Amino acid sequence: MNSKFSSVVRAFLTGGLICLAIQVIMAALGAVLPPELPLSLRGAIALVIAGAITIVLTLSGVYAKIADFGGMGANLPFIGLVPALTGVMCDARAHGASLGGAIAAALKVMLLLFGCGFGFSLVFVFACTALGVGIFA
Amino acid sequence: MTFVLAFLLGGAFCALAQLVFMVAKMENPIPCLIAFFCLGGVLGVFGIIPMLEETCQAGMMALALDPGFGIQGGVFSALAGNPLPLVALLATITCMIVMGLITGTIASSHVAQDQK
Repeated sequence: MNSKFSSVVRAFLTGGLICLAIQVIMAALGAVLPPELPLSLRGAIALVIAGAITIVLTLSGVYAKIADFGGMGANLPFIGLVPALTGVMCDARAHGASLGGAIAAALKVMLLLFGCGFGFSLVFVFACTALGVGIFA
Repeated sequence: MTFVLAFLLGGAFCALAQLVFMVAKMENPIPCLIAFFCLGGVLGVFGIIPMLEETCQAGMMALALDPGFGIQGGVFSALAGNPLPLVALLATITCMIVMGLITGTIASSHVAQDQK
């Protein structure tokens, strides 16, 4: 029980710190980019910059240590896609797949993730809007 | 203040994800990610995600819940004649996937060499 509780706390700290780091990047971008740029676009640019930093962290093996410590705290943030894809590709290569096979395996996982997520979200929003429920109705 | 809110909200969702991950005894984080993606879609329809985005900014935008709402807002905005949010969302996701594939190619070439 205790170890379970501590892993939730560690996920909280890891996820919180990653979000805090991206917030810092967003604040820095706010000083550079024109202020009339919408917030969501500034967030998207900050995410791409954070993703580029994640490449370095993944290749140096630091992100694997963060994921060991934080569990879902390191996976749920969007930048977790980079190490997740790397993990899938390394697994495929370790099982003897070629580079093309590894890329196909990684794309299959992404298709599953975005297919299910986007598919469900869109079906749900159109169903709710048709029923007159929600902010888009 | 936004920094504290981003930390708290991001942490709270990650703690919830970790709880779900352990309670459902999952081996692999992908099903948990899909579940939270869909949760983002549900919360987005009821206006909770855009509200949190405004107050907590990166605490919401950095998480995998956000694209679930992003695709809804993007599609509705594209239907209304402004495709920019949809294009920005798809471009961000494509960037992430391409960066993941590049990292994977570099990292997995070491794996392939180690096997030989």
